[in-house]
Amino acid sequence: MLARSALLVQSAELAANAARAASGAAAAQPKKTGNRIKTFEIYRFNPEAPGAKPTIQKFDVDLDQCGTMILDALIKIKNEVDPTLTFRRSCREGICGSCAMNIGGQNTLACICKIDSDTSKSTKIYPLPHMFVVKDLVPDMNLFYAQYASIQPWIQKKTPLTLGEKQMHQSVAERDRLDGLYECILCACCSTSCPSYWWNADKYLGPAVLMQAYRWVIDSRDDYATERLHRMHDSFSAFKCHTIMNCTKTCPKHLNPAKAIGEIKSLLTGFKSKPAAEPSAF
Amino acid sequence: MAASLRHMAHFHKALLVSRSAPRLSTIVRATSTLNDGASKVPDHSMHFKLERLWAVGMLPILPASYFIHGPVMDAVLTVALTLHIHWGIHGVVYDYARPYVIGEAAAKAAHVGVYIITGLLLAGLLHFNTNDVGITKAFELVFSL
Repeated sequence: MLARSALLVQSAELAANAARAASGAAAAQPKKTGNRIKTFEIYRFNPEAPGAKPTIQKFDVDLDQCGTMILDALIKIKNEVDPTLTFRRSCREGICGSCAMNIGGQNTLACICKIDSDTSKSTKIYPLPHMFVVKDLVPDMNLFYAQYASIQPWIQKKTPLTLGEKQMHQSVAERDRLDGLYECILCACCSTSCPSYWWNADKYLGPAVLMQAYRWVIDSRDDYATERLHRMHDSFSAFKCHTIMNCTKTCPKHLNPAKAIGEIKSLLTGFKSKPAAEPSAF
Repeated sequence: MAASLRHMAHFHKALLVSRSAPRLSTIVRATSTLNDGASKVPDHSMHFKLERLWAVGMLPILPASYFIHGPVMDAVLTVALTLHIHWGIHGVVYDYARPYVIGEAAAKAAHVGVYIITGLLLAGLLHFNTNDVGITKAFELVFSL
Protein backbone atom coordinates (compact mmCIF):
# COMPACT_ATOMS: atom_id res chain seq x y z
CA MET A 1 0.00 0.00 0.00
CA LEU A 2 2.82 2.30 0.99
CA ALA A 3 4.63 1.42 -2.23
CA ARG A 4 1.54 2.23 -4.24
CA SER A 5 1.06 5.62 -2.61
CA ALA A 6 4.73 6.39 -3.20
CA LEU A 7 4.15 5.53 -6.82
CA LEU A 8 1.15 7.86 -6.89
CA VAL A 9 3.21 10.71 -5.46
CA GLN A 10 5.88 10.01 -8.04
CA SER A 11 3.43 10.05 -10.93
CA ALA A 12 1.91 13.30 -9.62
CA GLU A 13 5.38 14.77 -9.59
CA LEU A 14 5.99 13.51 -13.10
CA ALA A 15 2.78 15.15 -14.30
CA ALA A 16 3.83 18.42 -12.66
CA ASN A 17 7.24 18.15 -14.29
CA ALA A 18 5.68 17.52 -17.67
CA ALA A 19 3.43 20.55 -17.23
CA ARG A 20 6.42 22.66 -16.27
CA ALA A 21 8.35 21.38 -19.27
CA ALA A 22 5.44 22.16 -21.59
CA SER A 23 5.07 25.71 -20.28
CA GLY A 24 8.83 26.19 -20.27
CA ALA A 25 9.16 25.08 -23.86
CA ALA A 26 7.66 28.32 -25.17
CA ALA A 27 9.75 30.64 -22.98
CA ALA A 28 12.85 28.40 -23.39
CA GLN A 29 14.88 27.97 -20.25
CA PRO A 30 13.98 30.72 -17.75
CA LYS A 31 17.04 32.69 -16.66
CA LYS A 32 17.79 31.65 -13.12
CA THR A 33 18.69 34.22 -10.51
CA GLY A 34 20.61 33.43 -7.36
CA ASN A 35 23.97 33.83 -5.74
CA ARG A 36 25.61 30.67 -7.02
CA ILE A 37 24.41 30.08 -10.56
CA LYS A 38 26.93 27.93 -12.40
CA THR A 39 26.95 27.53 -16.16
CA PHE A 40 27.71 24.12 -17.64
CA GLU A 41 28.60 23.88 -21.32
CA ILE A 42 27.71 20.37 -22.36
CA TYR A 43 28.48 18.56 -25.62
CA ARG A 44 25.26 17.49 -27.32
CA PHE A 45 24.94 15.14 -30.26
CA ASN A 46 21.78 13.41 -31.33
CA PRO A 47 22.43 10.87 -34.10
CA GLU A 48 18.70 10.36 -34.63
CA ALA A 49 18.22 13.85 -36.04
CA PRO A 50 19.12 13.68 -39.75
CA GLY A 51 22.31 15.57 -40.63
CA ALA A 52 22.95 16.32 -36.97
CA LYS A 53 26.15 18.05 -35.96
CA PRO A 54 27.55 18.15 -32.43
CA THR A 55 26.69 21.33 -30.54
CA ILE A 56 27.48 22.84 -27.17
CA GLN A 57 24.47 23.58 -25.00
CA LYS A 58 24.60 25.81 -21.94
CA PHE A 59 22.74 24.96 -18.75
CA ASP A 60 22.49 27.14 -15.64
CA VAL A 61 22.38 25.28 -12.34
CA ASP A 62 21.85 26.83 -8.90
CA LEU A 63 24.61 25.26 -6.83
CA ASP A 64 22.62 25.86 -3.64
CA GLN A 65 19.99 23.49 -4.98
CA CYS A 66 22.46 20.90 -6.26
CA GLY A 67 24.83 18.25 -4.91
CA THR A 68 28.57 18.79 -4.87
CA MET A 69 29.64 16.59 -7.76
CA ILE A 70 29.42 17.06 -11.53
CA LEU A 71 27.19 13.99 -11.75
CA ASP A 72 24.71 15.65 -9.34
CA ALA A 73 24.51 18.62 -11.71
CA LEU A 74 24.05 16.35 -14.74
CA ILE A 75 21.26 14.42 -13.04
CA LYS A 76 19.65 17.67 -11.92
CA ILE A 77 19.74 19.00 -15.49
CA LYS A 78 18.29 15.75 -16.82
CA ASN A 79 15.55 15.69 -14.19
CA GLU A 80 14.54 19.32 -14.24
CA VAL A 81 15.64 20.93 -17.49
CA ASP A 82 16.26 18.56 -20.37
CA PRO A 83 15.33 14.87 -20.05
CA THR A 84 17.00 14.16 -23.41
CA LEU A 85 20.50 14.79 -21.97
CA THR A 86 22.16 11.40 -22.24
CA PHE A 87 25.03 10.05 -20.13
CA ARG A 88 26.05 6.82 -18.44
CA ARG A 89 26.05 6.57 -14.67
CA SER A 90 25.53 3.86 -12.13
CA CYS A 91 27.22 3.68 -8.75
CA ARG A 92 27.71 7.44 -8.09
CA GLU A 93 30.76 6.66 -5.93
CA GLY A 94 33.65 6.06 -8.33
CA ILE A 95 33.67 2.29 -8.43
CA CYS A 96 31.76 1.37 -11.60
CA GLY A 97 33.51 3.63 -14.11
CA SER A 98 30.34 4.37 -16.09
CA CYS A 99 30.36 8.17 -15.87
CA ALA A 100 33.85 8.68 -17.32
CA MET A 101 33.86 11.91 -19.34
CA ASN A 102 36.00 14.92 -20.13
CA ILE A 103 35.30 17.63 -17.55
CA GLY A 104 37.14 20.93 -17.85
CA GLY A 105 39.67 19.33 -20.19
CA GLN A 106 40.47 16.41 -17.90
CA ASN A 107 39.18 12.86 -18.26
CA THR A 108 37.62 11.84 -14.98
CA LEU A 109 34.56 10.32 -13.36
CA ALA A 110 31.68 12.80 -13.07
CA CYS A 111 30.62 11.24 -9.77
CA ILE A 112 33.86 11.96 -7.93
CA CYS A 113 34.68 15.26 -9.65
CA LYS A 114 33.69 18.27 -7.56
CA ILE A 115 31.89 21.15 -9.25
CA ASP A 116 34.22 24.14 -9.47
CA SER A 117 32.37 26.65 -7.24
CA ASP A 118 33.83 29.62 -9.13
CA THR A 119 30.62 30.70 -10.86
CA SER A 120 32.36 33.33 -13.00
CA LYS A 121 33.69 30.52 -15.18
CA SER A 122 31.62 27.86 -16.90
CA THR A 123 32.51 24.17 -16.76
CA LYS A 124 32.81 22.38 -20.10
CA ILE A 125 31.74 18.74 -20.25
CA TYR A 126 32.60 16.56 -23.26
CA PRO A 127 32.51 12.82 -23.90
CA LEU A 128 35.78 10.87 -23.64
CA PRO A 129 38.11 12.28 -26.33
CA HIS A 130 38.64 10.61 -29.68
CA MET A 131 35.92 8.03 -29.22
CA PHE A 132 32.94 7.53 -31.50
CA VAL A 133 29.96 9.14 -29.84
CA VAL A 134 26.74 7.17 -29.52
CA LYS A 135 24.79 10.11 -28.10
CA ASP A 136 25.68 13.23 -26.09
CA LEU A 137 28.18 12.07 -23.44
CA VAL A 138 27.97 8.35 -24.28
CA PRO A 139 31.02 7.02 -26.17
CA ASP A 140 31.17 3.73 -28.07
CA MET A 141 33.24 1.39 -25.88
CA ASN A 142 33.14 -1.67 -28.16
CA LEU A 143 36.76 -1.47 -29.35
CA PHE A 144 37.98 -0.91 -25.80
CA TYR A 145 36.14 -3.99 -24.54
CA ALA A 146 37.29 -6.08 -27.50
CA GLN A 147 40.89 -5.12 -26.73
CA TYR A 148 40.36 -6.06 -23.09
CA ALA A 149 39.02 -9.46 -24.16
CA SER A 150 42.01 -9.92 -26.49
CA ILE A 151 44.47 -10.04 -23.58
CA GLN A 152 42.49 -12.97 -22.12
CA PRO A 153 41.99 -11.56 -18.62
CA TRP A 154 41.67 -14.77 -16.66
CA ILE A 155 44.00 -17.25 -14.94
CA GLN A 156 45.42 -19.97 -17.20
CA LYS A 157 47.20 -23.02 -15.81
CA LYS A 158 49.48 -25.53 -17.48
CA THR A 159 48.64 -28.31 -15.02
CA PRO A 160 45.06 -29.51 -14.72
CA LEU A 161 43.49 -28.53 -11.44
CA THR A 162 40.29 -29.50 -9.74
CA LEU A 163 38.40 -26.54 -8.42
CA GLY A 164 37.63 -26.88 -4.72
CA GLU A 165 40.40 -29.42 -4.08
CA LYS A 166 43.01 -26.98 -2.77
CA GLN A 167 43.55 -23.27 -2.97
CA MET A 168 45.77 -21.68 -5.57
CA HIS A 169 48.49 -20.60 -3.20
CA GLN A 170 49.93 -17.14 -3.37
CA SER A 171 52.35 -15.66 -0.85
CA VAL A 172 51.78 -12.23 0.68
CA ALA A 173 54.62 -10.80 -1.43
CA GLU A 174 53.15 -12.29 -4.60
CA ARG A 175 49.74 -10.88 -3.78
CA ASP A 176 51.31 -7.48 -3.10
CA ARG A 177 52.49 -7.37 -6.70
CA LEU A 178 48.88 -7.11 -7.87
CA ASP A 179 48.17 -4.03 -5.76
CA GLY A 180 47.78 -0.94 -7.89
CA LEU A 181 46.81 -3.12 -10.85
CA TYR A 182 43.65 -4.99 -9.90
CA GLU A 183 41.89 -1.81 -8.67
CA CYS A 184 41.38 -0.61 -12.26
CA ILE A 185 37.69 -0.13 -13.02
CA LEU A 186 38.15 0.05 -16.81
CA CYS A 187 36.58 3.51 -17.11
CA ALA A 188 38.90 4.21 -20.10
CA CYS A 189 39.88 7.66 -18.81
CA CYS A 190 43.56 6.79 -19.31
CA SER A 191 43.32 5.16 -22.72
CA THR A 192 41.27 8.04 -24.13
CA SER A 193 43.74 10.61 -22.76
CA CYS A 194 46.64 8.95 -24.58
CA PRO A 195 47.67 10.56 -27.91
CA SER A 196 49.19 7.26 -29.01
CA TYR A 197 45.80 5.62 -28.46
CA TRP A 198 44.09 8.48 -30.31
CA TRP A 199 46.27 7.94 -33.38
CA ASN A 200 46.58 4.14 -33.35
CA ALA A 201 43.66 2.75 -31.35
CA ASP A 202 43.26 -0.03 -33.91
CA LYS A 203 46.71 -1.48 -33.24
CA TYR A 204 47.89 -0.04 -29.92
CA LEU A 205 46.20 -1.60 -26.89
CA GLY A 206 46.19 1.54 -24.74
CA PRO A 207 47.18 2.03 -21.10
CA ALA A 208 44.10 0.53 -19.41
CA VAL A 209 44.27 -2.74 -21.33
CA LEU A 210 48.07 -2.93 -21.08
CA MET A 211 47.91 -2.50 -17.31
CA GLN A 212 45.45 -5.39 -17.12
CA ALA A 213 47.67 -7.42 -19.43
CA TYR A 214 50.53 -6.80 -16.98
CA ARG A 215 48.26 -7.74 -14.08
CA TRP A 216 47.81 -11.22 -15.60
CA VAL A 217 51.41 -11.55 -16.74
CA ILE A 218 52.76 -10.87 -13.26
CA ASP A 219 50.19 -12.98 -11.39
CA SER A 220 52.16 -15.80 -9.71
CA ARG A 221 49.27 -18.23 -10.24
CA ASP A 222 49.25 -17.79 -14.03
CA ASP A 223 51.45 -20.09 -16.11
CA TYR A 224 51.29 -18.36 -19.49
CA ALA A 225 53.31 -15.17 -18.96
CA THR A 226 55.57 -15.88 -21.95
CA GLU A 227 52.67 -16.48 -24.31
CA ARG A 228 50.86 -13.42 -23.02
CA LEU A 229 53.96 -11.30 -23.64
CA HIS A 230 54.55 -12.79 -27.08
CA ARG A 231 51.11 -11.73 -28.17
CA MET A 232 52.02 -8.08 -27.70
CA HIS A 233 55.64 -7.96 -28.80
CA ASP A 234 54.87 -6.38 -32.18
CA SER A 235 55.75 -2.74 -32.83
CA PHE A 236 52.29 -1.41 -31.95
CA SER A 237 50.47 -3.35 -29.19
CA ALA A 238 52.72 -2.21 -26.33
CA PHE A 239 55.69 -0.48 -27.92
CA LYS A 240 53.58 2.39 -29.31
CA CYS A 241 53.56 3.81 -25.79
CA HIS A 242 55.67 6.99 -25.99
CA THR A 243 55.76 7.52 -22.20
CA ILE A 244 53.59 10.63 -22.47
CA MET A 245 52.24 9.89 -18.96
CA ASN A 246 48.76 11.35 -19.58
CA CYS A 247 47.36 8.02 -18.37
CA THR A 248 48.87 8.29 -14.91
CA LYS A 249 48.01 11.98 -14.65
CA THR A 250 44.35 11.49 -15.48
CA CYS A 251 43.54 8.21 -13.67
CA PRO A 252 40.60 8.91 -11.33
CA LYS A 253 41.63 5.94 -9.19
CA HIS A 254 45.21 7.27 -8.86
CA LEU A 255 46.74 4.16 -10.42
CA ASN A 256 49.88 4.17 -12.56
CA PRO A 257 49.31 2.57 -15.98
CA ALA A 258 52.52 4.14 -17.36
CA LYS A 259 54.58 2.19 -14.83
CA ALA A 260 52.81 -1.05 -15.76
CA ILE A 261 53.59 -0.43 -19.44
CA GLY A 262 57.21 0.26 -18.50
CA GLU A 263 57.29 -3.09 -16.71
CA ILE A 264 55.83 -4.79 -19.80
CA LYS A 265 58.57 -3.23 -21.94
CA SER A 266 61.19 -4.42 -19.44
CA LEU A 267 59.77 -7.94 -19.60
CA LEU A 268 59.57 -7.87 -23.42
CA THR A 269 63.14 -6.65 -23.86
CA GLY A 270 64.51 -9.04 -21.25
CA PHE A 271 65.68 -6.40 -18.77
CA LYS A 272 63.43 -8.04 -16.22
CA SER A 273 61.79 -11.45 -15.93
CA LYS A 274 58.77 -12.71 -14.08
CA PRO A 275 59.78 -14.08 -10.66
CA ALA A 276 59.20 -17.81 -10.27
CA ALA A 277 56.16 -18.69 -8.20
CA GLU A 278 56.93 -19.46 -4.58
CA PRO A 279 56.20 -23.11 -3.74
CA SER A 280 52.98 -23.75 -1.89
CA ALA A 281 53.36 -24.47 1.82
CA PHE A 282 50.46 -26.91 1.74
CA MET B 1 4.23 -46.97 -17.41
CA ALA B 2 7.20 -49.27 -16.94
CA ALA B 3 9.28 -47.04 -19.12
CA SER B 4 8.39 -43.99 -17.13
CA LEU B 5 9.19 -45.85 -13.90
CA ARG B 6 12.58 -46.79 -15.28
CA HIS B 7 13.15 -43.16 -16.19
CA MET B 8 12.15 -42.16 -12.68
CA ALA B 9 14.71 -44.55 -11.20
CA HIS B 10 17.36 -43.29 -13.60
CA PHE B 11 16.62 -39.73 -12.65
CA HIS B 12 16.68 -40.53 -8.96
CA LYS B 13 20.06 -42.21 -9.28
CA ALA B 14 21.50 -39.24 -11.14
CA LEU B 15 20.18 -36.97 -8.43
CA LEU B 16 21.84 -39.06 -5.72
CA VAL B 17 25.16 -39.11 -7.55
CA SER B 18 25.10 -35.39 -8.03
CA ARG B 19 24.34 -34.89 -4.33
CA SER B 20 27.04 -37.22 -3.04
CA ALA B 21 29.75 -36.01 -5.42
CA PRO B 22 31.57 -32.85 -4.38
CA ARG B 23 29.94 -29.88 -5.99
CA LEU B 24 33.12 -28.10 -7.01
CA SER B 25 34.92 -31.03 -8.56
CA THR B 26 34.98 -29.50 -12.00
CA ILE B 27 38.11 -30.37 -13.94
CA VAL B 28 39.66 -27.24 -15.38
CA ARG B 29 41.21 -28.02 -18.72
CA ALA B 30 44.91 -27.24 -18.90
CA THR B 31 44.77 -26.45 -22.59
CA SER B 32 45.40 -22.79 -23.20
CA THR B 33 43.57 -20.53 -25.57
CA LEU B 34 46.77 -18.55 -25.87
CA ASN B 35 48.18 -20.50 -28.79
CA ASP B 36 46.03 -18.56 -31.21
CA GLY B 37 48.74 -17.69 -33.70
CA ALA B 38 49.00 -14.14 -32.43
CA SER B 39 52.45 -14.91 -31.06
CA LYS B 40 53.67 -15.29 -34.64
CA VAL B 41 53.59 -11.51 -35.17
CA PRO B 42 57.04 -9.98 -35.79
CA ASP B 43 59.02 -9.43 -32.61
CA HIS B 44 59.81 -5.74 -32.14
CA SER B 45 61.45 -6.07 -28.73
CA MET B 46 65.03 -6.41 -30.03
CA HIS B 47 64.57 -3.33 -32.23
CA PHE B 48 63.14 -1.39 -29.30
CA LYS B 49 66.04 -2.41 -27.08
CA LEU B 50 68.59 -1.43 -29.74
CA GLU B 51 66.94 1.99 -30.13
CA ARG B 52 67.19 2.67 -26.37
CA LEU B 53 70.78 1.39 -26.15
CA TRP B 54 71.70 3.56 -29.12
CA ALA B 55 70.21 6.62 -27.42
CA VAL B 56 72.03 5.82 -24.17
CA GLY B 57 75.26 5.30 -26.12
CA MET B 58 74.88 8.78 -27.62
CA LEU B 59 74.82 10.37 -24.15
CA PRO B 60 78.63 10.27 -23.70
CA ILE B 61 79.33 10.88 -27.42
CA LEU B 62 77.64 14.28 -27.59
CA PRO B 63 79.57 15.96 -24.75
CA ALA B 64 82.73 14.16 -25.88
CA SER B 65 82.38 15.69 -29.35
CA TYR B 66 82.61 19.12 -27.70
CA PHE B 67 86.21 18.37 -26.69
CA ILE B 68 87.41 15.84 -29.26
CA HIS B 69 87.45 17.09 -32.83
CA GLY B 70 88.53 15.31 -35.96
CA PRO B 71 87.44 13.01 -38.77
CA VAL B 72 86.85 10.01 -36.44
CA MET B 73 84.47 11.94 -34.22
CA ASP B 74 82.79 13.34 -37.37
CA ALA B 75 82.17 9.80 -38.65
CA VAL B 76 80.91 8.56 -35.25
CA LEU B 77 78.53 11.52 -34.94
CA THR B 78 77.29 11.08 -38.50
CA VAL B 79 76.35 7.44 -38.00
CA ALA B 80 74.93 7.95 -34.51
CA LEU B 81 72.81 10.94 -35.45
CA THR B 82 71.58 9.49 -38.75
CA LEU B 83 70.25 6.31 -37.22
CA HIS B 84 68.81 8.10 -34.17
CA ILE B 85 67.03 10.66 -36.35
CA HIS B 86 65.83 7.93 -38.73
CA TRP B 87 64.11 6.03 -35.93
CA GLY B 88 62.67 9.24 -34.50
CA ILE B 89 61.21 10.42 -37.82
CA HIS B 90 60.00 6.89 -38.53
CA GLY B 91 58.03 6.90 -35.27
CA VAL B 92 56.52 10.32 -35.98
CA VAL B 93 55.50 9.35 -39.54
CA TYR B 94 53.94 6.08 -38.37
CA ASP B 95 51.95 8.03 -35.77
CA TYR B 96 50.69 10.82 -37.99
CA ALA B 97 50.78 9.65 -41.62
CA ARG B 98 48.14 6.97 -41.21
CA PRO B 99 46.26 5.51 -44.19
CA TYR B 100 43.01 6.09 -42.28
CA VAL B 101 43.69 9.83 -42.25
CA ILE B 102 45.65 10.72 -45.40
CA GLY B 103 44.84 7.79 -47.67
CA GLU B 104 46.66 4.62 -48.62
CA ALA B 105 48.91 6.12 -51.34
CA ALA B 106 49.97 9.19 -49.35
CA ALA B 107 50.74 7.04 -46.31
CA LYS B 108 52.91 4.75 -48.43
CA ALA B 109 54.68 7.78 -49.91
CA ALA B 110 55.29 9.18 -46.43
CA HIS B 111 56.80 5.88 -45.30
CA VAL B 112 59.11 5.83 -48.34
CA GLY B 113 59.87 9.49 -47.62
CA VAL B 114 61.38 8.55 -44.26
CA TYR B 115 64.07 6.52 -46.02
CA ILE B 116 64.65 9.32 -48.56
CA ILE B 117 65.12 11.83 -45.72
CA THR B 118 67.53 9.46 -43.96
CA GLY B 119 69.45 8.85 -47.18
CA LEU B 120 69.75 12.59 -47.88
CA LEU B 121 70.84 13.24 -44.30
CA LEU B 122 73.53 10.58 -44.43
CA ALA B 123 74.76 11.68 -47.86
CA GLY B 124 74.74 15.33 -46.80
CA LEU B 125 76.67 14.73 -43.59
CA LEU B 126 79.23 12.48 -45.32
CA HIS B 127 79.66 15.06 -48.07
CA PHE B 128 80.13 17.79 -45.46
CA ASN B 129 82.70 15.67 -43.60
CA THR B 130 84.78 14.82 -46.68
CA ASN B 131 84.52 17.97 -48.79
CA ASP B 132 84.11 20.61 -46.09
CA VAL B 133 85.31 21.21 -42.52
CA GLY B 134 83.29 18.41 -40.88
CA ILE B 135 80.65 18.55 -38.15
CA THR B 136 82.86 19.07 -35.09
CA LYS B 137 84.97 21.76 -36.80
CA ALA B 138 81.79 23.48 -38.00
CA PHE B 139 80.46 23.74 -34.44
CA GLU B 140 83.87 24.96 -33.30
CA LEU B 141 83.59 27.76 -35.85
CA VAL B 142 80.04 28.57 -34.75
CA PHE B 143 81.04 28.74 -31.08
CA SER B 144 84.05 30.97 -31.90
CA LEU B 145 81.79 33.67 -33.37
